[in-house]
Amino acid sequence: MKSILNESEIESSIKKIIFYKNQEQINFDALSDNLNEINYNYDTNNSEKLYDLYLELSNKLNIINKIHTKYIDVLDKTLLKYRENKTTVANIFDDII
Amino acid sequence: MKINIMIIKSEILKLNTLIDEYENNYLNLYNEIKKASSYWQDGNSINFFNDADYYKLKIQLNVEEIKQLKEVYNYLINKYSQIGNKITFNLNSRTYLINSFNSYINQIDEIIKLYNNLDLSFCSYERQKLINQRNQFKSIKNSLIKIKKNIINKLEYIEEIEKEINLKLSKISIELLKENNVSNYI
Repeated sequence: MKSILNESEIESSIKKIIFYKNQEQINFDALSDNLNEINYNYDTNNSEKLYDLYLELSNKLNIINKIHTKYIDVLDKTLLKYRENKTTVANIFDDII
Repeated sequence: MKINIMIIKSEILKLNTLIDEYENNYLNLYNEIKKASSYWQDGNSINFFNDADYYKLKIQLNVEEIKQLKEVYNYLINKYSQIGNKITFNLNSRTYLINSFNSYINQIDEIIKLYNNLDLSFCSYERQKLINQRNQFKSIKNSLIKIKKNIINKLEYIEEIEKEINLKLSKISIELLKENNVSNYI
C-alpha cells in the first residue's frame, strides 16, 4: 500500500524549513533596522512618506514570518497525526491477530 | 532638512546584501516546501501546497517592493552626493537668508555710491587709497552676489530632488498581505 506521507522525508523537510525560517527572521530584523537607519539619516519633507512605507514593509515582513511559522506548525502536526494514526492502526491489527 | 549621505550610502550597500539574502531564503524555503509536496499527498496537502504557491508569489512581489524603495534611495544618493556628504539646512529660512544677502548687497551699494560721490580731485594720495577701498567693496559685493546665486541654485536643485523623490515614493504601493489560515489543512 502506497504511503500518503513519507515520515523521514517530511521530518527532514521540516528541519530545513525551520532553518530557513530562522534565517529569514534574522534577515527581516536586519532589513527593518537598515530601513530605519536610512530614514533616520534622511530628514526632509518626504520623511513622513518614507516612514509610512517603512511601517507597511515592516508589518508585511512580520506577517510573512508568521505565515512560515504556520507552515512549520501544519507539517509538524500532520506528521504527528500520521504517526499517531499509524500506531493506532497497528494496535488494531495486533488485536485482530 | 538633514541628510547624511555617507551613512545612507553605507546602509544601501548593506541593503543590497540583505535583499539578496531575503531572496535566497525565501526561494530555499519554498523549494523545500515544493519538495515536501512529493512526500505528503492527501486532500489536505493539496490545499496546503496551493496556499504555499500563492504566498510564494506574494513574497516575490514584496522583494520587488523593497527593490523599488532601494531605487529611490539610490536616486537620492546620486543627486545629493553632488552637493556634499552632509546637508543641514532649514528650508523655512530660505527667504530670510536671501533677503539678508540682498540687504548686505544693497548696503555695500550705498557705500560704493558714497565713494563715487566723493570729490577726490584735490588729494592725489588719499584718492588712490579711497579708490582701492571702493574697489574692495565692489569685489565684496560681487562675491556676495555670486554666493547668493550659488545658494539659490543649490536650493532650487534640492527642491527639484525632493519633488522627484516625492513623485517616486507616490508610485510605490506596498500590497496588503493577510495572514493565511492553514489550521484547516491538518
